[in-house]
Amino acid sequence: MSSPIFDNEIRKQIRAMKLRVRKVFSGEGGGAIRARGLGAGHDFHDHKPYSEGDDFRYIDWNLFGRHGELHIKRFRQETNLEFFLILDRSASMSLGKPSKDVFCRRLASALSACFAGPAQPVQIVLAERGLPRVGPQIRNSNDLEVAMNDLESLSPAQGQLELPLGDGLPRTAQNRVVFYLGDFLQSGNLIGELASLRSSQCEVQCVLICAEEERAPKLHGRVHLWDIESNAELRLTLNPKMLDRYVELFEAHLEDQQRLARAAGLKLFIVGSESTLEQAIISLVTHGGLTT
Amino acid sequence: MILINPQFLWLLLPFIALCWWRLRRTGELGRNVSTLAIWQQLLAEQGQGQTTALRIPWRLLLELLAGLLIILTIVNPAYVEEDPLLVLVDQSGSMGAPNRVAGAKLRVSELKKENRGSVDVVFLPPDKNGFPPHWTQLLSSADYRGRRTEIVSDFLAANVSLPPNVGFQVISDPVHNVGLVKARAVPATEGGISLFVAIARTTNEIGGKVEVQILVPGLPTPIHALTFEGGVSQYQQETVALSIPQDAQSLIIRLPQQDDLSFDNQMTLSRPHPARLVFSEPGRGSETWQAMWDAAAALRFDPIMAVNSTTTRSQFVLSVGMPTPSARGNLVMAATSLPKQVLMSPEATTRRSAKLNDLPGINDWLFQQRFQTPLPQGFQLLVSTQSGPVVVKEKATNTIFVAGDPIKSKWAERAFFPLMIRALLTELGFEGSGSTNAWQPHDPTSQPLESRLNETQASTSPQQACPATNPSSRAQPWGPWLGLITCLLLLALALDCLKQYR
Repeated sequence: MSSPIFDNEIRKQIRAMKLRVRKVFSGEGGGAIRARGLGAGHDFHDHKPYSEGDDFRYIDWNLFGRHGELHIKRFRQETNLEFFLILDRSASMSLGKPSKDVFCRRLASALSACFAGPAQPVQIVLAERGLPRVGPQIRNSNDLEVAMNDLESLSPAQGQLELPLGDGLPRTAQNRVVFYLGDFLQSGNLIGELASLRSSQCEVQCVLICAEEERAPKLHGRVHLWDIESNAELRLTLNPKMLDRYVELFEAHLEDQQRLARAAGLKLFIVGSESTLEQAIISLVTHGGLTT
Repeated sequence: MILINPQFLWLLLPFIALCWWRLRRTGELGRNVSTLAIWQQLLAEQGQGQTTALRIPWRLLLELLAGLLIILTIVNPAYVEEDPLLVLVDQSGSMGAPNRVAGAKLRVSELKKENRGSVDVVFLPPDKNGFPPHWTQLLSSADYRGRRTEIVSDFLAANVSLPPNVGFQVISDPVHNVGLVKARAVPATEGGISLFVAIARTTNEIGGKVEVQILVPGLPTPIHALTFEGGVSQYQQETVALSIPQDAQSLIIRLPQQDDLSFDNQMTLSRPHPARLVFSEPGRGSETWQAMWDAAAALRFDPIMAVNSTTTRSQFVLSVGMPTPSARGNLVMAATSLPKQVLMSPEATTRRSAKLNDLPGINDWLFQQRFQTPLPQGFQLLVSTQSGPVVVKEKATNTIFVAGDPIKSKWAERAFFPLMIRALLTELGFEGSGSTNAWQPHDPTSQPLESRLNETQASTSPQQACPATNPSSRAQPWGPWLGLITCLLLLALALDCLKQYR
């Protein structure tokens, strides 16, 4: 019997996570977070001398009574923000101890706990064979519990990831932040696909999850390697020199992914499936720019 | 299929556990990876390895197969080849009754169905005394002593309730080549006997009625008279039931003396022993054959068959089942123009002799020879031999022994015997052909009948021939072959291991 994905300790740890989005998005029409520019908001920004054509309703009459000059109160623009967490559900995610799939589900729950709010919904999208499956909105702790239970009851990842991903996301005019959590090992231009989602109202951040057995496999002698997704078989005889070369090639692969993401304007973080949730969240906070 | 060492079947339990454990470790035989492209790139740099699209754990399968073969080798299954069941079909006179013939055929068919192995059938014609033939000698010559045997017989010949020392005599004029009278004693259901009397004619020239009288010595008048209408048919027969006085010692069957009617032999029906009704024909050996012929007629087989149809006016090719290579004798052939009508003219009769041992390439069942003798169109060839015993083997499954007296009569239809037996075998579902053998029956008067009966029953009784353990079964164990295959498999696996860890 395998240990549960969300045991009490992890649930408690996830529930305690909370982050505030400090990045300013452009937008208008009111909402929960501060937007770029001035407009109809609730947060006072400054005064400006009244000029012809200004709205009388924003004249600061108290200031006129003290100084006898007409000034207009200006407020910060506010907007809404929603999060989408796309989880790679391909078979390659089942590797690692704990598996990349397990870590991905935990990290998705942690991100949901960090960013979900009444006016800031988080939706988990399962990218598996066929059209991506979009989960319910997570706005509070109850929704979070339901989401964790749903994630725990998922079957192990299997099959191959199918592109494109964007067709499965709801189309709204709101600002959105998309997190893609996966191993980036599937064939096809995944980074290009994710880059196509990026726009002035959509922030895309990628989390590349890799396992220790991928970084430094403990193999020796004659081995049979089977691709977990295509079932292709490879027979080879390994020696330490070849293993060192493999590690170099894998690191080069990671660097290539980062370089491609950077070229596409995406932020990509590499996280090991053995790392803790705090380490992963701190890495996101440090380098993601959402909370700074 | 039997297991020679079934006590080692418990090895299957740990083997199943081993299979379960190995199957659980199947995933550990290889490693699932997600970075196969990187490994392939690494291989491309190193210049080794190969990729395939299939994922079949051949090594695991071979290991499990080797384990199973090891267990099978220890258990040592064997194929039990049972000796063929020998069925002795009594063809003595009393078996000629239609219901008994049908019963015999049904019983043979049942035995053939019940025994999936081969079934050998021996048709036992009566000897010249009406006995079933000397079974012990026949079985001994066929190396069948002590094997499974089933007897299909009415056993009436040994139990007919006749007064002791009753003899029958058939008296006729010794004019040859005209006709034959024959009498057979058939036990009647209500005491006494029934006489089966037949008169054979071969020409139309004999007309009028022929009266056959049956006399009891000492009585002035016949106790019965049979009237045969003259005509062109070959046989006329009539079955009569007679009540024989208890004190009668013999019966006389008398045919009237006529100039144009004669008989080729004189048959004496005698019963020298209370337990046996005997046909006695000291001078000739044809009575046995004739009884067989009548039995065949009772079986309703048409004895007219062509052995080979590749006959032209200039030559013909003869193919016929023949004796074993050890048999010596002459091949007797006769030609007929029409079914059931024998032409004995010199122009239509061909006799050839061939020493079978001198023929190159002869096998034990097929004889083929080309003859340049012209035959009239439409003639059918009749073939038989004068030697034996004949053991005809077909496909090593059904071995058919057909016994009969040597053909010595000039009656050409007697040569139909092999063909008749072939038809009989075909109907019973066997393959093969028949011929006569050279068995020489003992003179029943030359030895005590009790000893003969005891010898016969002792050698052929089903109880003795079928011991409980059935020692005649031959087991052919597969263990050596399985062991050899296992060794080869283990050797291949060992070489593979050496190659892997070198």
